[in-house]
Amino acid sequence: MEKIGLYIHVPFCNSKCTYCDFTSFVPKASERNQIIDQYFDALHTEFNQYIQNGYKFSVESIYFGGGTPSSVPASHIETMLTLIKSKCTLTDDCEITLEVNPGTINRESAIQYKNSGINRISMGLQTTSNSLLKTIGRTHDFETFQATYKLLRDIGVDNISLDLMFGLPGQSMASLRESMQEIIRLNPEHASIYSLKVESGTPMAKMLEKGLIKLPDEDMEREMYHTIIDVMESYGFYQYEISNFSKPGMASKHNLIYWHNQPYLGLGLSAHSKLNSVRFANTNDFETYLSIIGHKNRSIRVEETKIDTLEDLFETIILGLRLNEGLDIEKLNQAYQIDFEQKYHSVLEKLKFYELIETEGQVVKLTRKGMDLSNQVFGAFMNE
Amino acid sequence: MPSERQKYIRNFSIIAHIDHGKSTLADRLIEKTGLLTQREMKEQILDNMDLERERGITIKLQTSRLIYKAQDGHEYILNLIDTPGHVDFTYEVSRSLAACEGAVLVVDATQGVEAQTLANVHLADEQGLTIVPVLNKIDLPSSRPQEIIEEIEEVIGILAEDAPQISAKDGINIEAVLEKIVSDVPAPDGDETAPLKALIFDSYYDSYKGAVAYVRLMEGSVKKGDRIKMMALGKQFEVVEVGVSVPTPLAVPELKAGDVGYITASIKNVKDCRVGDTITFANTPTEAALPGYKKATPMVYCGIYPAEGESYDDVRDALEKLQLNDAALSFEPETSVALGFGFRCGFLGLLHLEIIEQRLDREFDLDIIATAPSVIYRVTKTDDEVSMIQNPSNLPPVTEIKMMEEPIVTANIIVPNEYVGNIMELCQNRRGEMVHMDYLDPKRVVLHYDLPLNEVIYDFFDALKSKTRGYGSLDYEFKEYRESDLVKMDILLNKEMVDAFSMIVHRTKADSRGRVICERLKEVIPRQMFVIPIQAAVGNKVIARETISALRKDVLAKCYGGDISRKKKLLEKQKEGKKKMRQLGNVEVPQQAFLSVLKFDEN
Repeated sequence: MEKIGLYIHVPFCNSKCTYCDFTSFVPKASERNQIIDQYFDALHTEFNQYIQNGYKFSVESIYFGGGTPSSVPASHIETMLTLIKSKCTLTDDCEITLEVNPGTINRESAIQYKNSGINRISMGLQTTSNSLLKTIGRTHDFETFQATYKLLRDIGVDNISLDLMFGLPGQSMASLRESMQEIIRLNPEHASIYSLKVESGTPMAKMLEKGLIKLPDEDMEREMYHTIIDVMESYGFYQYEISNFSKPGMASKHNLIYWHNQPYLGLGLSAHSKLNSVRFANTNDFETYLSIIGHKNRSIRVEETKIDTLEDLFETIILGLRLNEGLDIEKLNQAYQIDFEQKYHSVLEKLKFYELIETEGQVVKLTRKGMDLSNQVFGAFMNE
Repeated sequence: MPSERQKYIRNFSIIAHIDHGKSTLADRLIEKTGLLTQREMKEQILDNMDLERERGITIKLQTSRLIYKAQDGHEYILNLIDTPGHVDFTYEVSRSLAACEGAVLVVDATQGVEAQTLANVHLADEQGLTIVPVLNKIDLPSSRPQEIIEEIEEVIGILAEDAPQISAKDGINIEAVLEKIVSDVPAPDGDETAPLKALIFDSYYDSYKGAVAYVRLMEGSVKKGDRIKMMALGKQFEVVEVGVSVPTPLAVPELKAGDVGYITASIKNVKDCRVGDTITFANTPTEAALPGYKKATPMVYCGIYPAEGESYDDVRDALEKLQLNDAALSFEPETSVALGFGFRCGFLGLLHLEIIEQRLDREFDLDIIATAPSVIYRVTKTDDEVSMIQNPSNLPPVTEIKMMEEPIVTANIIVPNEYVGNIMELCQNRRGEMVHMDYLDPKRVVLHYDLPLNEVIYDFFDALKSKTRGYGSLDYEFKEYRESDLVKMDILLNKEMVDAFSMIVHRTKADSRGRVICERLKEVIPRQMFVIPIQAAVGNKVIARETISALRKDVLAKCYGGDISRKKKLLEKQKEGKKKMRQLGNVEVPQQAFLSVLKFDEN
């Protein structure tokens, strides 16, 4: 039985944020219910295909991501979980996460989620500043967020993660510090704090081109990042990955599956998977995806890459280095039958010279400078 | 006196300032003479290279024989000899004109006389040609034919009152031009029975026939099987084919005095078929060669190196192929500390250089790096040994130099009078000395300057255009070598000298040039893992400095939903980008950096 993480993509939103280039869309109100029903039908079909094809999974984590999974009726999430539980084994400590946007749930639906097995909530807060929330196209304000957060705490949700961004258009150091204080006060179990990346083609990219908004410069952006790390650590959060922080023992199991280069299955529109040394992705075309309903063997895959040992090693290195626990050289040597230090001798020397990595006993990890320039580090291993 | 046959031949060129419509008129003449059907006409049939079409100029000549039935009832052979339209090719133009008895002078009726109009008229005068003025672009509302006629008469000193007023674009009044050619241009003469005397005015390389010589027969006749001799080079060949250009080659039994056509003789290299040389019979040669033969001498040199990932052999093969058709291009192997193995190449001028660079890119798909161009300096050492230096790296140590001289050109610059101030300032910045200044008409001025060639070969022409809103025009020719206070300026990247960036500049210019180059390099070299000082230095003295600060951020914060392939694609893209960089010491330098040192204009 293969141990996996299960990702389920829910591509619906109530509105689209200006920085977003994920596969998500806002259905028309008149068609909304029908489209959502069809989509979950397709998700069931896709999942059942795997089971019918003989796959047996031991599921360590289930993650409903989006889009905004909390924007669809809670019954869909519940039914999906029931289906999964009926066909797979869930480990005792299986982490089941639902992404929730502020203002999209009420007490009733929250209880329904909790009763159906959701034991972790990831909330898209992004920033506590109402004016910045507006700039990036979020429909909620900080007060709405606080209400939703309190509601979750009130019904006993004890594992909440906050999604935050920094380096936002017009964001100042003062505003960031203020924001950090609010986060500390909220006292979540986990926080993912991302540096904003403006993806081409998004409304934000166009606003930037037209000069309507301006991003903090590179130096200030890094100062923000370093401030975040310092503040979080001083309040008992452990930075376990470039952009992720948690209270002790509360690191996201789901994310760790990716970074440990373990197998995972993605269901739904544009979902990515890695099973049996093959990486593959689903179509991002909605109609194509729906077409699997009633066509048991129709393929909705658009990409499929067999990962050979060398590629797998490279992926293990670049994913593992994102983690503060670093790479365990001994484990790597055993898993891939290599002498890591010899194989990458010159790369390691160069990266150490520039103070991008450091070695502690059997462990190689990024320095703080290495986190800022992690692409340079990963690229160096790719060139070998 | 022309013979009965020669009476019905006219040999002529079309001369014009760039963009005044020379090529378009040539097309119309070919059309009107009915040698080709409308369907066969390709636009601008004489400009057979894409590059020429794009820049609107003719680089490689092509000649064409036209058959025209004139109003007098006779059928005439009109040999149209195309001329290249740029200052870099003055010698080639002069040889084409030497093959003619007349020149059609095209003047844009909206623009009037320009610098190249004057330069070309001057060349035609030197050859004693009859000039047939034509006013073009008469269809444009802004045309002012009467004013331009007066201008031509005043400035050039030829009658233009009955010059055909035409629109080559719309095909208006083209017949009048043909009639003028017949009536005004003298027929050729020359004894058909005398020993062969033929002028080579162009040549090109054909992979089947070898070098093909375009010739004008001055005396005698030539046919297949004749044993011929190139008088300047002394080499002998046996004629394989003679023919005329219509404009595709058409073999004929014989060419006679007064004719224009081509000769093939299994000549392996265009170098053996030099423009300006005289062809005669090997056994019964003519007494004296035609005057005016000159060896093509490069004026501008630069290093051409394969870019990262390109092979040295491919670049050499490409240069050899280009040279087959271009006797003026010279190259020899050279090595650079920064760029490795490459070639030192010589060109007639900066346009010629640009053309070769672009042909390497387009026709051979080669990525190359060209170093800063250099003129040829005359260096006298303390032991009185004189050497010609065309690569700054070869300059002897300062202590061994007694005197340095640089080439000076005479430049004629025509500008509307409101821009005279701008241009005088530009020329002063480029160390020009004004010789004198004339008014062409109340609105336009011709400035005569002596300018150091090393100030002209950078972006002088671009600067001229931008400072005159495109109205300024330029023509120049070599004048002399003059003593000058020159220094070698080096560029140091991360404390290491990059020889490919070294250049020879006037001492008073070193500071400002050094500053501009450092600034430009700072813009184009991306931040790297460490701080990179960029310095300009003369000897041991640093005269300008910029600093590229270290890279602060290169991170993909989000790695979500397991989309690893997207992340890998990004890393691969970065890797591709790095491949295109040149590693100079431990600094990665993009190709652009080599281009950025070519532009000098401080604004």
